[in-house]
Amino acid sequence: MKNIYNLIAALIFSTIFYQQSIGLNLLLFTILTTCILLLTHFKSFKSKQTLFISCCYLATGIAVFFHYSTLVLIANLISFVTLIGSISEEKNSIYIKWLNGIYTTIVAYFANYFENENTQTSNSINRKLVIIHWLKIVIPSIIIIVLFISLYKQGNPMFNKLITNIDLSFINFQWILLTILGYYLFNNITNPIKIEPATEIDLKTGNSLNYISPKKAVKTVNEIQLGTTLLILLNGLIILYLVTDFVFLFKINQLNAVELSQQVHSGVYSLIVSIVLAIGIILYFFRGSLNFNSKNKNLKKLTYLWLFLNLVVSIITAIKNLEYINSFGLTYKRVGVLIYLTLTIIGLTTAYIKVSKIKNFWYLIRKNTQIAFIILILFSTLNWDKIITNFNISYAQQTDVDYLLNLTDNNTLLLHSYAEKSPKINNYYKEKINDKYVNYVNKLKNNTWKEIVYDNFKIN
Amino acid sequence: MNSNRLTFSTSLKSTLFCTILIWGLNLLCFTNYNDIHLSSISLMLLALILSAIPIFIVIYLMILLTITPFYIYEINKLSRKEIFKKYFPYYAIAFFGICLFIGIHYSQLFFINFLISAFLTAMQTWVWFFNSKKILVKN
Repeated sequence: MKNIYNLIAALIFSTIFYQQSIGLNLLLFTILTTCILLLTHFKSFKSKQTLFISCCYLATGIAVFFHYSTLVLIANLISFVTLIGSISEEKNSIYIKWLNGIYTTIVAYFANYFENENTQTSNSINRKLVIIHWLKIVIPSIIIIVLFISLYKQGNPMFNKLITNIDLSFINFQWILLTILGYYLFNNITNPIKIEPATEIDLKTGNSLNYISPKKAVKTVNEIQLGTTLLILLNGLIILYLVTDFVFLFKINQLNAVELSQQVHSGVYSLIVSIVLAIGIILYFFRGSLNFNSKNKNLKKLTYLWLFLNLVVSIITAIKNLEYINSFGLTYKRVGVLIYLTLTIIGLTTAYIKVSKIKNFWYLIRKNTQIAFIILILFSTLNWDKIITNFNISYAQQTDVDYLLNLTDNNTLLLHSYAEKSPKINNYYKEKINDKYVNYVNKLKNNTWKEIVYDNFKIN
Repeated sequence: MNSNRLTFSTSLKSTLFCTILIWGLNLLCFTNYNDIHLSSISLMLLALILSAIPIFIVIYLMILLTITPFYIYEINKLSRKEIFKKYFPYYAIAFFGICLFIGIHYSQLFFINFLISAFLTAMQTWVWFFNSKKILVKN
């Protein structure tokens, strides 16, 4: 039964993707994959996590139809791999699901074949011998027949004409190859496998640190002293940095675009280094027995203070970035800074939980990768080109039309209606926007049904 | 089995597999079947046999440098099946990553066929290399 599903899916796969660009076909592929997995692994979908991941996968498929971009495509691929990994082993951490998902997608056939070869039953050996027997008959026969056809073609002009008149052009070998590729893909994902050593280690590893008796933990007194001294100095330093940053914040309106841009970018770079160092130091000191030493209270308080001060640095950088956006408009880089700051705040929160609830390093990695995945899916479902364009033409004090023209086609219709209505825009830009609009509309009109996107319905 | 003998015998099988695959894919994608004559078939067969020589050299070196080291390093500690399960997943993912990277940069059909052949051959080579004697489990 599974083979029939795979064959049907492979035929649909090659039909919707052969010589087509991305559009409705990727949404159809997403639905098809989910249906095939539902049919073949229904039990896996009873898990809430797998169900959530499949919803994320479908959401990215729908997002491709509404506003195709590289970000959405990447999100769709990542959620596909995560879903396959979740079907391989649902209880794993998300990064192991990615590994299992990639492994299954690319080579499940070979791994399953190897497994069968090494634990064969007599029935499967008999079946294999029958296949080999038939291959031994069919392949040499085809070669010899082809050879003789060529020989007779040269010997007899009538036969040559007859053979030449046989038109095989209706057979599209590239399409057949794509179907085989589709079959290979669906065969792989319906027979999920896992990387056994990594999967087992991950399943055995919990989120909490192993308990160490306070007697053994006494040995960490020197480390507590070193940590306390270091964190007092680091807290002092960050407070000094914050004071100077607050002074700067009051003068922010007097700065020009170049200075503000430089400040925001250098602020973000220093924040990246600061957060990585902060989490690194916390991980080092709170890696083991120190967590169970009764004299660690001051060190913990200093750690919380440091995490809080880093949070304040993140908020100040966010204020600078928002001021920058307000004055000079939204760009992908500025959106990227906001996403980074969101991730930073989440990272600091998980670091706080790690210290207060005595969690291990793997807890941090697991939670942060899970959150990063959810944020990627959430952000990919938004049409950023349209949001950026809408913000810049409606709210920003200055509009960089060149930048908006260089964005993908997702903003074309909005930009065109803006150019038609707004008296602010000059003729040079009106012409450029019109060119972009005409090219996009032509592209949309040339789309086959497999390539159509949501904008196709808007222009009709 | 001695690792040199194993490398050599697997190289022979993989060469046959890769030669058929690469020629098959390119013939299916680029050939106009009405133009095939006896002379072109004999030339094609000659080219196929000749092309197997460089393919063998490349495959032999590839097995010697990227697969045999795992075998030599682990064979005294683990069974063949265990070595396969331990290293094959990461090898497959890394190999696929490299093929994907090259495929994105050189997306002509010939290169894609070459990369597909290289990837499938490498994976099948692992299966042949670490395939232990068949265990018969009677039903």
